[in-house]
Amino acid sequence: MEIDKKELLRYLGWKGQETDEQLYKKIEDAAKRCLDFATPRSVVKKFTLNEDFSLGETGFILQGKDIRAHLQGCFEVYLMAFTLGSAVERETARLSVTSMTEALLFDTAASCAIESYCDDICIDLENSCKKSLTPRFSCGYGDFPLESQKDICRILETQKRIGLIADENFLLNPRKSVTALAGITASPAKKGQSCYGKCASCNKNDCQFRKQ
Amino acid sequence: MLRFSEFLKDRIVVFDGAFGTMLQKKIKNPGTVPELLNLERPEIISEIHREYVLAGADVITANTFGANELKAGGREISEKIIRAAVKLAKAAAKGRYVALDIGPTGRLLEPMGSLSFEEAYDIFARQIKAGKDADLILIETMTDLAELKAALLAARENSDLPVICSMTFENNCRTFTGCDAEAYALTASPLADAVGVNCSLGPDQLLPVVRKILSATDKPVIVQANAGLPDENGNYGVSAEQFAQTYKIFIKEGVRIIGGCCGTTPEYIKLLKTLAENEKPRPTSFQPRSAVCSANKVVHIDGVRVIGERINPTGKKAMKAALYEGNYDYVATQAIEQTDAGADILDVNAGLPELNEAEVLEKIVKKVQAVSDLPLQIDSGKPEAIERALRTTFGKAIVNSVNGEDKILDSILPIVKKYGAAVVGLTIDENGIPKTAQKRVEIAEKIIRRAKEYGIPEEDIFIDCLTLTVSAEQAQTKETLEAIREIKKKYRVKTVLGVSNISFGLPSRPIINTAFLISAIAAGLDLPILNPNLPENMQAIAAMKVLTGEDKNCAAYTSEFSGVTVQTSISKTALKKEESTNEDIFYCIRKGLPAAADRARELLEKVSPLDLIDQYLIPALNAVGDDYEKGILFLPQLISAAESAKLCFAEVKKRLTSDVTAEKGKIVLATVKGDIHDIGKNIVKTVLENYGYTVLDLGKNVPPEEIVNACKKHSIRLCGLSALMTTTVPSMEETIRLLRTECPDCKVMVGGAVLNADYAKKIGADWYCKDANADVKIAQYLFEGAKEVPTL
Repeated sequence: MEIDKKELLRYLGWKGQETDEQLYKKIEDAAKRCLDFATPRSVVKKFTLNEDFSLGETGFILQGKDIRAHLQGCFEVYLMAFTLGSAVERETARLSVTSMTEALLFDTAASCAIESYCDDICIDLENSCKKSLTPRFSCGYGDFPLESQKDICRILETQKRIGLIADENFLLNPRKSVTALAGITASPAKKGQSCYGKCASCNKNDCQFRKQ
Repeated sequence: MLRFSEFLKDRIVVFDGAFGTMLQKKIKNPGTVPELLNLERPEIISEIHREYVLAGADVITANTFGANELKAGGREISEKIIRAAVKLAKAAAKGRYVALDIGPTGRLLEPMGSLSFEEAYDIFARQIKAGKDADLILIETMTDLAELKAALLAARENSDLPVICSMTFENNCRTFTGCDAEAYALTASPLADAVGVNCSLGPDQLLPVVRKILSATDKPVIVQANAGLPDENGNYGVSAEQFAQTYKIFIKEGVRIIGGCCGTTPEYIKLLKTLAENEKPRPTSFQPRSAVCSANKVVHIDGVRVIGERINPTGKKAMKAALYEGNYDYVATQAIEQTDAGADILDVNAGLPELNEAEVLEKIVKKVQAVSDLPLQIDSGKPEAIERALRTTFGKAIVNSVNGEDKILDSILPIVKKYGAAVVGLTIDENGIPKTAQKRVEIAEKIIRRAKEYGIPEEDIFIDCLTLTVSAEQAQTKETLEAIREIKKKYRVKTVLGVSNISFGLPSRPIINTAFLISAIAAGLDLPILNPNLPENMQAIAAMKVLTGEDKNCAAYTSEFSGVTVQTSISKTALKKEESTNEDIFYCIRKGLPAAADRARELLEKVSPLDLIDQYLIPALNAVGDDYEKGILFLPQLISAAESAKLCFAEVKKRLTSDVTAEKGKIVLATVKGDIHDIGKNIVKTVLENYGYTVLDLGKNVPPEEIVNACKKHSIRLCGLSALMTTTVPSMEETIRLLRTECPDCKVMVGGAVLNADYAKKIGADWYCKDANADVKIAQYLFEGAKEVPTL
């Protein structure tokens, strides 16, 4: 898990503005602090993808045309959940009282960190199954409903395994967490395939953070 | 049949093993609420229970783990499932004990999540009442000490059944929420009949956790380990034989209740039963100790520990004002400042005549716990306020205080005992402060005796021999110190003392304070109550820790003080100034430099406070805001500029007389009910405050009624709401609807990730804020007649 400073700047809305050393140092500090506080954990389970787009014997059916199109041609999928843990949340709350600049930088660094952690796990999975994975696809992408967040957490027993819950509004808590699916394709593993093209597969074209 | 508590006395008790694991063997897809099977497929449930009975389990756990109303989908169905489960278990386990199983609610409690402590308590209470026919209550797989405490109190206060509790830990001896195993034992033991661990790890990996708990609790300990960790396909790796091998060690070290969690089956329980039959309960490594804790941090009082005194309105203007206004962020900054300065414990006090002390103290406790890991000292003499504060303290606190009066002892000590707190005993009684050391020792002895009658051990009693002002009663200092020496000689109690009173009325008070602090520590003072932000205080303590040998090899002292210029309270501010630059105020604000405050101070020699605002601060902020809009600056630069302007405003405020106000308008901000994503709202707050607006920040997860009440109470003209996702926007819409009927004069601006102008219009908002600068334009238009910002 690492925090890419360029990625961090992109999340902060940076579009080439002049930055000074002081801000850059604050960003570096926030990234370092974030890695200190993060306790990344994950839970992954492999399922067969049935014809009715249900997963294994869980009875959980993937809703929406976008996720179905995304997993087209896959016979197996990884169902995954990741979290940076609650210490990051506590630190964000603390920083929000002492310095909003630091809180913002820390919070954004945590967004980078969780993505990077997801990438690491996906690369491990590709290595272990020797197949390429599709990019990760999460609830809320396209028409894949947020409501499925609860089913994913239940099936993966995320509260017990990694301390992650989906609340009554289907939001993840701790906030810096991800649930996702990645299809196992027929082609042999290509390093890091699952970590690219996330923006390209999203149809929110007006997103200010979209990668060009 | 013996009552369970009797049965437990002289034998090793065996619980059953995993339920889910067994269920999955019998049925492929148990559905979203597996507890519904109690009604739909009772024969399967009974079969599993019977298999565990046959294996020899003394206690059968009813299938109620996830049967609470949040998970089951309603109160009625929840209660129905629970009643059915207990009935099934009792029928299947004749002659055995049946445990009502209570798992986590499935939601996170405040401040991390949106479920309040009180809501969690009510949910647990209803479960416990529905399961009243069980023989005992098992609260298990908990990861949050707050949630555990809600469940424990609900069990204690709504049932007479014995209560066993169990949390789940990782390799580092902490739960997912960071709760420390020792802190758990200290906090839960007073409220439970047995404490222990379950789930998450195999028995081997649980050994260190179990040892920590055994050494910290006087209650029987339960262990229900997993059969190892599951692999990608959900298989567990530890065999029944390996499992039982480690349990031999558990029993040898004093564990008295054994069973299995995920991955275990009747085969495992059978082996545990054989172990149990050949064993008797063994003594544990439990050592009584003077210690207090938060959920994440235990403070052992085996040396000098500092209690920070700043969260107390007495004699502190800013704290008083903050509490009257309900500005708990100020309380939070005081907590963080003292934590960073090296305090070990934080005193919290809300004793202001016009305030509802119980209510305010509870709010302070909640706020401080959200930002600091330090244990708390609840500073109040009112039983009601003390109890409310202790309920929501997630850890072991100190109650400050009782004294030698029986009336006080009898009203406060039962509360101290119930919650397992420590207690400060002031050596004063109905006759006032005794003049001699001897008399104070006598009162201390009475307090110790009476506390023991209530079951409070000496280790949890902290005697205060009272500091009297030396300029008024010079002979008394000697008596105070003598009383400390005498008490420490005779008892295992600790001593506590407020230090700074000593110098009242004298010049250069820190000089006297330091000398007194050092004398008191030398006499045996363990817990000085003082201001840790004054460098002299912490320096004296660091030095005393060296001289008493507590700081082994002078390591802490050396690491803190080598190569630094030693600060004093006078030099502290001067030093800061040297680090600054010579650039002007516009530059400093634009670059977000703290030196902006120095420039403001200098300018205030020449211009009036209001002129400083109008001619310097606002133009500087406007320039930054404009450049942000044009994309010349980006978000972190906008916020750090706002923060350096905040320092300037603080300088302005210091110079404003009470009849002149810099206030431009009051704005309510809130993240709506159900939403815990508040970083955007906090950014808006920072920016608005630095334009001179007063922001009433109601926080996150705020119910519509609370927002409306605040807007009404303060006649608010502008309210800002935030929501992150489509699922929480309806809550925003509901808030706006309520505001329209209740506060027709209040305008509403909204912001959040999924919102846009169309969406904002649809839910009835006046304005949509696309970024942190948009709200400033709206406020300037509304309050200061600036350029119109058209409504949606």
